Amino acid sequence: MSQDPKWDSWRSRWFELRYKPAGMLAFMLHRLTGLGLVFYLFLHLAILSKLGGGPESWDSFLALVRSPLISILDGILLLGVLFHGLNGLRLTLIGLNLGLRWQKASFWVILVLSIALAVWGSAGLWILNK
Amino acid sequence: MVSPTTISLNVRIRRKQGWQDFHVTLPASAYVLDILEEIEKQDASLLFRHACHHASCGSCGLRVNGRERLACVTPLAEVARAGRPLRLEPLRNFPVIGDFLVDFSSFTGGLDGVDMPLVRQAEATSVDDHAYVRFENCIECGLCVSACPIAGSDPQYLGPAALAAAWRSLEEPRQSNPAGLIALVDGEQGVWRCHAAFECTEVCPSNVNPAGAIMALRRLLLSRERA
Repeated sequence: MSQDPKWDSWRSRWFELRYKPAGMLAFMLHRLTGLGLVFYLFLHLAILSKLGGGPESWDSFLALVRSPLISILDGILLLGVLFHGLNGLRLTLIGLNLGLRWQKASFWVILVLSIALAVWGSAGLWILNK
Repeated sequence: MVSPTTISLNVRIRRKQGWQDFHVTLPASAYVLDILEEIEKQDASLLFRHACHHASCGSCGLRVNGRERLACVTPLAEVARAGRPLRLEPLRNFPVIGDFLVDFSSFTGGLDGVDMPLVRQAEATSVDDHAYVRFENCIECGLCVSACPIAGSDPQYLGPAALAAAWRSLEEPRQSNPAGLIALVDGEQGVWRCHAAFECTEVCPSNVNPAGAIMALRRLLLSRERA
């Protein structure tokens, strides 16, 4: 613990996962993935701007995309998209007072499903890129 | 194995000037409120509130290791961690008067705003053979507001306790001004500000389920718009 209670309090709210119920974990992950997707949108636009640099610029970028590191990053992106999208559906249903009693279970189902699909999808991308 | 009869632990208390450490030895069967009373013997300037000692008055709410709890019914053995100090802090999202004393004016004002006087009924209400949930289970402890991430980012938000009270008022046929109440909960600081983190329901010591009430209110508002 630091000597600053305000910092400790803020850190425990956002970074201490112990005692956090499923609903709060979903709340945090939804925001984290949302921010990540906004960051990716700008990154995507920056990458597309390479098309303006001609075929050579684009081809060198494609060579980079085929590296295993990019496949891992693709997997993380896919995980963020899947979790954010599926949790958005979960929140819509909960917000309509539908399936309230399964709100905790549905978070874990969505998390596991997102991880499984992201692993499967990124492995597929890596195989296609080889 | 023989259970220890006493627990010795370091307690870290959040005060205006920063963290202050204390050391206490208490029976293993003690509660967090006993810690505060023990520390008060060491430092009489410690400010905290308590009354009933059995989760009825709602006055001893605080955060234990970052989590909202009622000090009177939180067993020490449940929250003490070996080798680590027990961290005690006042509730969030309320102005701190001193140590564990927080200003509840906005909280009680919110309950007044939704026509929920601070009066409890002894029996559950039943009208037309329909059993109504008693919102009066709420002990006005403020734990839900402290745990709510939206109340933390927007002090104008009506908050889980007031919205649950509003749902109770609307569910209760004796409500005198349903149109005004519906307009209030449908407003900018009403049910649509909730982001469904369910922290309020998790920490509620009386099983009021404020998040469930908020979602029920949303459903009610949508069905009224459709009609």
